[in-house]
Amino acid sequence: MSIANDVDIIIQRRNEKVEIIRKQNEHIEEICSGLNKLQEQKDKILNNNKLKLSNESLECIQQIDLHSFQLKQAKLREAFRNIEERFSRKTINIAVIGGARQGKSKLLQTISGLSNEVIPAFDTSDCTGATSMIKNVKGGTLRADIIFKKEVDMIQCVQKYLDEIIGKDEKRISSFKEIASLDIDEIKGKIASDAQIARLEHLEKYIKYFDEWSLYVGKQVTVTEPEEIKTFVAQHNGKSEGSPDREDYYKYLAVEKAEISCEFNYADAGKIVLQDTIGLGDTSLGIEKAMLDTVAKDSDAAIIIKRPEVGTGKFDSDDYELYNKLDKNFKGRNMGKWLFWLINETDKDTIYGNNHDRCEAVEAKIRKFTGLAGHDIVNVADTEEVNNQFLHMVLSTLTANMDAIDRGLVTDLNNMAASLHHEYENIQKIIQGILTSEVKNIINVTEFVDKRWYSFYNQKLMRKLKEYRNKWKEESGKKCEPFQKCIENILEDAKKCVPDINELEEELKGGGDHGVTDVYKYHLDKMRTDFTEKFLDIDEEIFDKMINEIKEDIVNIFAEDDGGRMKYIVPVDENLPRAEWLSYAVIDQIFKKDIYRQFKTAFNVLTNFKLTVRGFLMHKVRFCSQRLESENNMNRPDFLGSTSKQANEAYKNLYVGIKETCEELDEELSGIYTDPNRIFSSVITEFYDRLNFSSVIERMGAEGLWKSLYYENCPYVWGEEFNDVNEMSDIYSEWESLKTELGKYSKQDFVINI
Amino acid sequence: MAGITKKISGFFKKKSNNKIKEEIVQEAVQNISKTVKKITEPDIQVMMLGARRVGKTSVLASMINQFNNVTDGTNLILTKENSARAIDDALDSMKSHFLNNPSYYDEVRMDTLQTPGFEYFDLRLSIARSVSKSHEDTKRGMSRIIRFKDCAGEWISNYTNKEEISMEIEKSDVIIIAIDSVLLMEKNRKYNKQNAVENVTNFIKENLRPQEGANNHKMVLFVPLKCEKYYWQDKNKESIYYGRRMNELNQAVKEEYHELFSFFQKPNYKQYFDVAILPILTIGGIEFFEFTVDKEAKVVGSENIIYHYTKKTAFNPKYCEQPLIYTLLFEYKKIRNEYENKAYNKNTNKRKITATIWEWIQDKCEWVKDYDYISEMKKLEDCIKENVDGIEIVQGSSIR
Repeated sequence: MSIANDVDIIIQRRNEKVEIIRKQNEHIEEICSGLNKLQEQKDKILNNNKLKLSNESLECIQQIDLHSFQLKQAKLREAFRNIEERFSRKTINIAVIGGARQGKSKLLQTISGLSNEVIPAFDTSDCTGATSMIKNVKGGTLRADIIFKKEVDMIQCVQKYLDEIIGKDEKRISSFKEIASLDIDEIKGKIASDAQIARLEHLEKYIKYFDEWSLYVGKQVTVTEPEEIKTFVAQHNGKSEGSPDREDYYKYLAVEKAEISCEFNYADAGKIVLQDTIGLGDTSLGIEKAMLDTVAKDSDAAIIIKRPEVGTGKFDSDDYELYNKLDKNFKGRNMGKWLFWLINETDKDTIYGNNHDRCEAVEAKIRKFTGLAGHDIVNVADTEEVNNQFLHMVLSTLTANMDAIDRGLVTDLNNMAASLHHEYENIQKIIQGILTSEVKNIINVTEFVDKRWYSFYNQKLMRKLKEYRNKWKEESGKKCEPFQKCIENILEDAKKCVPDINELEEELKGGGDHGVTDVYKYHLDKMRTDFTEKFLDIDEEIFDKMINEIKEDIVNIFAEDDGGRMKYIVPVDENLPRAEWLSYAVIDQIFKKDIYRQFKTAFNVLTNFKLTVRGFLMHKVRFCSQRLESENNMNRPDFLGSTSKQANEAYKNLYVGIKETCEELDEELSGIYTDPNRIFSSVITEFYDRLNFSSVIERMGAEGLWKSLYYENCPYVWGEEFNDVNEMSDIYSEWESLKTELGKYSKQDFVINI
Repeated sequence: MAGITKKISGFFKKKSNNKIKEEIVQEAVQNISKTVKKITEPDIQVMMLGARRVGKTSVLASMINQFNNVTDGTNLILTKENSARAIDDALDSMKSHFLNNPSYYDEVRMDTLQTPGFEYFDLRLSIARSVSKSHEDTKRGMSRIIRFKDCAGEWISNYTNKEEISMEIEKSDVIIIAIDSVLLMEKNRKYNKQNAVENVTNFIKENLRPQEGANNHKMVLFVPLKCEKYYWQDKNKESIYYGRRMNELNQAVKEEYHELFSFFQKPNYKQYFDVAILPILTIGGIEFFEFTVDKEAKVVGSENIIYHYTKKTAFNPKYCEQPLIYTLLFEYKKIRNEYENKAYNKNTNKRKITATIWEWIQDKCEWVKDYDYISEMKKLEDCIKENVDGIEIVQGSSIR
């Protein structure tokens, strides 16, 4: 399939995701709108002096920080917008970045076939004025759509220069026309340091040539003549300074961007767009930011270009700095899939001379970077090298990596969404804290809980837990049936490792005695390794499953109505594995206070428990299968006689070998089948003990600690009864409904799944 | 016989001691009566219990085959009294497996047809005149008959004539319980029911009344057959079973027949029972290989029990003579006690002159005498195996 077709497919797949992204963004906006009520309620409480809230509640309310939440929400909104824009595009965009005069524009010329008129790449001083976007349009003719900045943008741009040169707010521009009347000499007099002289030169251009560029502000023009295009995108016509033929242009100062369409030289390029950028190191303000923005928002990939100087060129601190900046900004976006590095090799015929040696030295450094999708030494003026070698490499790598790149983008987005959800959850927890602390002021919680305690604690929660512990005590003397069955099945099936006798005969037909020995040895070794491999997954297949079942049983005991009813404190998330409730609900939330650390430890030990028999099993298996090692295979027959007889002998030996191994292993392992149940019983007993017998640190007995927990959470645990029995304050019920409203949404509502 | 009696009477006619004369005549008559009695009742009766097809016929064949070799240092000769075709066929069948130079690991298909078996089989134990132990050259006179009675599992669970059974047990000096070791040891004893354990246990418990009856001191031998596989595992240094497998077999017998062991070891019964475990290798050169049934199968037919040749592909049974040697040693004690009661004065412990004279006569006429049996059977103590390869005397002092 051609690269162009691959590009089309990628674009189509992206376009299909746009609707999902848009809907998810809307959904998150809807969720977050629920917090608007929160701000109202917060203000209501803090402004009402008559309310007698506890200090604890007031502290909780003050902790509610919607500002942080809103900032994150805004960032997420923007990220959604960017990704929606990116996936809506009909092209794949590649940015070309690097220092000034490294060959970026030349590269673009070679790819696009455009001349210096359209993409200025002169050998003299910096020539690129505005950044161009060059689009490949199959069969298309040359066309440039020049989009100019608005007046407000120009004001901001000039104001930045003023702030930079003479100090922030020293001089404020209030209108667009004021730019023309700025006094450059006055500004020169206030210059803060010599380092700002270059900036001053730029500012001077804005002031001095106001009439030339201001005509186009807020407009868009379409140009088809190369000569004319140059005047909008270049700083000059390429003639050296001082030359009578030299022409300088200033319209570029007002250009937002130039979108140039043409048919590229490389026929299979597909729907790609190359983004030119201003050279880093140019003294204009905001160059670096503009470059990073181009890569972040407008590009799917980037090519860094470096031209090592003859004799002295090396991979220097600027190069490291550039790479590190990219790495820092795009860490979560799989940079190693879309960043390329081109080392520009120049001929001896050019003004730069032959820098081949320096190119190799630089490449040696670049090779060590792991965050690159590709690199090459290329002469950017050579059509063959640029198109058939470098561009082909870039495009084929990119099309192969695009799914990974997009996944990286979505991951980045989801990380931001998860972070927002985390803030959302924190707010819910604060509200819960308010409710918990206020509930004691509303009703006599102690009386409420005490009345129910005996039947709840002794006859339900702890009775169920005790029964579970006792059930495992009974099991501890018995064989672990799944384990035993698994081993027995493996041993039963082991004979399938023996090769078919006809297969052996066919193989033996090939050679003389030496061949026979080799065939036998090969099958012996293969049989041994096939056999031992069968035992490798027992931990995952048997014990991980059993442990998960135990955890789910514990969840049932503590979460459900006929047990601890804790699902009313923190609900069980149906989108997650049930056993995880023990971690995110019980350990992280319900027992977060220090006084419950013993209970937390009990649950921690249980959730982190893992039973592995692999090491022990492998030891036994290896021990019993020694007879299957060719060095130990003392009973190897002489393999005399016909091929058929030899095959029969070999088959017999292999069959008996595996059979005897299985018998011995069966014997060796028969003693350990009861061990897993014993271990599980010990773990459950330990768990039970920790939850029932207090440590010496706490004066309160274990039951007292449980009661304390249920005092705090009784409105949730016995919600309906609680609400029926007692009257609640208005504030309490308002907060309660808000919490319920917010609690409808989980992390799954925030992250996108594409 | 009448002529001999007359001669003896005539010999002592002139002697004055009529009492001595009477005693000697009585002795002679007793010996004659015994000979007559043997036609209807043997000296030693052995009851063989065990399930059908466990290998009782084969073990008897190997026992006879081995006995004369093992007892080379004695003048004892064992011969078949009545021709039991089944015994001969069994021996031929076992030997025939090795006629065509089989190889190690070759599969052996055992006969699936049931042999006719035997109801009872007699062996004659005689004393040879010389160490050449020729069957034709035995001492004249009384020999000992050892009768083996086969009681298959179905018979002992389906008996309607309880009196007959009680009599059979009462007459038996030795009870041999034949056990198929393969059914006992393989697949966690899943198929051990086919050894008729429950039937045998109930049969013995219900019918043995050691405190009643005259012949109440018995020996019970638990004889696991077809132990080849476990024996070779025990001897193989590369096997995890090295040095312990036969003990495990011994232990398995005790566990599976624990009810019987408890019965024999009851304080009131212990004195009446000598008990031993005697694993034997019926053929030697063939061992169990595998079952060819599904793991869900509850029973395994003989056609699904596969054997193969061992490394030493030869007919070399081992320890097959031990049940017989144990039996004879058990009888030896009885015979010796009887002899001492007859030949010695209970009060003075002095030898009776009548005994001396009678034995002198027997020697002169080259007749076999009780003392011959006693002295030859005592030599069997050198042939006995104990505390090796799972062989164990569990209780009882008659054998030692």
